[in-house]
Amino acid sequence: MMKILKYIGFALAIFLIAGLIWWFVADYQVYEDRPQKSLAEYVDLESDFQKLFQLAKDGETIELPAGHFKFTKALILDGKNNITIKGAGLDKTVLSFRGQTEGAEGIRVANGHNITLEGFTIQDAIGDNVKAIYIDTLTFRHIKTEWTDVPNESLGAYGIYPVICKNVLIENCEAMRGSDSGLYIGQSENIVIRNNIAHENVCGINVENSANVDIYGNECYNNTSGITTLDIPGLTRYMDNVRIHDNKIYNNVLYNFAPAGNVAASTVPGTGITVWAGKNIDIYDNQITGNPFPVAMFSFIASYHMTKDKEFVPIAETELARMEVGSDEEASLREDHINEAYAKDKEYNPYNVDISIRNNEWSFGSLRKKLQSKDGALFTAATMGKNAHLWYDGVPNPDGNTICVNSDSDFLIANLDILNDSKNIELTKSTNQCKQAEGLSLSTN
Amino acid sequence: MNIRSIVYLILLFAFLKGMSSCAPAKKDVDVTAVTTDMEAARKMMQQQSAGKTVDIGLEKLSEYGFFAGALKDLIPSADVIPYELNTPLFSDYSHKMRFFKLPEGETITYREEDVLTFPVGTYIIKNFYYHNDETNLDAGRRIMETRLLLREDDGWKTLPSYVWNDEQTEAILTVEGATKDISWVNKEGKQMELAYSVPSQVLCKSCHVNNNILTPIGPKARQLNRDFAFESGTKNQLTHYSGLGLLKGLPDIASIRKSPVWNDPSTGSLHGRALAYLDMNCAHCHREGGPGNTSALHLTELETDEFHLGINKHPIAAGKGTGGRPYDIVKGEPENSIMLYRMQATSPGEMMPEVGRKLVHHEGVELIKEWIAKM
Repeated sequence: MMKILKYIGFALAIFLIAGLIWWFVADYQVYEDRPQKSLAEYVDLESDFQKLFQLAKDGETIELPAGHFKFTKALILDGKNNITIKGAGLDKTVLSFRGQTEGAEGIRVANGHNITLEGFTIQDAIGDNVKAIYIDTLTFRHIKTEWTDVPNESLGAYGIYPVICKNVLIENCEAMRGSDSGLYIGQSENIVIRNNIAHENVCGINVENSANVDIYGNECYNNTSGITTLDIPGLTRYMDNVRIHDNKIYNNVLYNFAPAGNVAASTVPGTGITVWAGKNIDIYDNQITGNPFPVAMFSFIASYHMTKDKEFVPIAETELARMEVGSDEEASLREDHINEAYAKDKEYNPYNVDISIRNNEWSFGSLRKKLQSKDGALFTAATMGKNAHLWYDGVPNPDGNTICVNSDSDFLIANLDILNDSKNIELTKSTNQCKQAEGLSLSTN
Repeated sequence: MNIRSIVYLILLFAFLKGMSSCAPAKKDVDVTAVTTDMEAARKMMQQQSAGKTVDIGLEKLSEYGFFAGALKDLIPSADVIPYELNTPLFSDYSHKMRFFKLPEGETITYREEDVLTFPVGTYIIKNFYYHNDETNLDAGRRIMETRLLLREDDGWKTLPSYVWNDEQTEAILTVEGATKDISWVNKEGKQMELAYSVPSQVLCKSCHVNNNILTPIGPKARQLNRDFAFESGTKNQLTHYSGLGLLKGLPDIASIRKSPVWNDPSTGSLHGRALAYLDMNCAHCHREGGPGNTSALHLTELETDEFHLGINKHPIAAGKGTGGRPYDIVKGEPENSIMLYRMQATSPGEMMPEVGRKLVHHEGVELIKEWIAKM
């Protein structure tokens, strides 16, 4: 009898352990199961489409027929003005680039003004689904962009990608399974992103080095990070004046499937809003719920650290202090620290400046979801599994700090102490109010 | 195993099963909702395109009269002038014969850095061909296409490519591009196969555009500053054109910058040849005002800033083109440099340049590899 009990106990222990492991790992990979349509069900009218795009005259509407169509080469609209590309509707006109052999994007729109894309679905481009470059006045409306395979790093990078554009409106679009970002706006100005749905991307909505950006009314769920804004050195322009308000940013817990080397690859799974070296950002009136790390905020210094592709050895401040500023010795020390390349852009500020977080509705994600990445597990262990609203890298801004928070209840801040490999993660509480042009100084924590 | 343990097992499975049903509900998406009416779709598009043309270019290449004698011999007429570049663009191992034709009595104006100023009415003519056997040039060649750039009052225009027929007797204007299978024996004696891609007219712009202005890429003074075996003898190209009265404002030839020949070490240092190669293969996009400006990578021959050359520079929008590598160039570590990964890639989502290449340029890769390794 004892022997039998022993066996039972043994079996139970094994199943308990298996169950626990399962409980932690089994649904990392939660995404909706969607049957992928066979490419044979798409018809080939590629040359008619190519002619349609090439022969369009300024001022015309290019009408795309209803149906599922397949392409091997990018569709390009270049140097044309006042053009509308209009499909029969989202999911009614479906363009698939799954068999693409030429061109790095599905649709490329370049060098023009007043271009509108509306009412169609674009799938499975080998690079980005739609890229728009050097366009003034650009609208995306009722566009669905998706990769139809399960989220993995072989998928294309950006769903909708306007870069170096002005006066951009993206509304009522749906973006899914971009291995970098669903909607990605780069180096542009005067941008409205409203009433879109982004899900199952690494970054749902991502705004890089752009100014005068209004992001509202969007629904971002089950991405690795719901909304991301970043400011990167050396590019054509910098970030300024970004408003993120009245969005529903929830349950962003998808695993990170961005190819290594990209900034998106260092996004911590479970993040509601990620800010890298933000400039003048106002985050208010959002529902930020079910995200284990509701807001993550990093300086660009930390981004190099978190990329981890190159071993990071922080420059010891004491070592630097004994060297003459501008000396060869100092230069050579800095040279050894590959991750300080940003310092070469003299106009660039690698810190977060003028960020306010106020009047948002909060809830936290489950403990289990915190543990699905190395960074997440590290942060969680160091905070003993406690929740915090804001997770920031703890890199002090030498110019003082201008991050302010305003919350009805206690606002919890985790200082991740990134430069010391998170050895001393600290949790602090703040109920400080956002006042005009001043706020809580986090740099002294 | 007794009954009790079996019961426990069943309970455990039930528990696990129950938990898995807590996962988010999976939505069924009806992807077959649209059946495609192919004929209606075709009709709708053809109606929109009906009667429209690109309104540029003669239908046949022979109509221009660029060449004397049989078209396929590419023997230039008297007013059609040949030229070569020190370091040309790699185009899938094709060979190129280049010419320009000026309107009568007009001249080119010298410029130090940028493409020379050609007069309105100039044609630039570029023929792409493969030797059937590079180890035996007597075995003939196959001309694939002829591309024309035309200088008009309001700037340069790219004409659609002229695609050569199999008989090599004529080339026809082709707006939408074409794909042609070609095979040849390379200089190592290896049989090569390629689905050669003739670009559509709009694709030409992907390279030939700077600040939204169309422009030729090759004929810069530093690229033309080299000898050429003209019929009248071997001479420096720039001096020759100047002597013919076709080029004005040419300074003392000894004072003009000369681009190295990428694969000839006697013409320049490793650094110089690497930059010349990058300039011709990458800088049409990767420079200020170019479409590749978005990444802060400026791969021009005259660039001196390490960051803009890609050294320790993060990728910006490379996607899977990073190959998992951290920086565009890591000094001394070609195998950790994204630049090399993208030169060796052939998937259009990863490779560089993005268009105009299907094969890896192994010799170019070796040059850049050595350059990075010795940094």
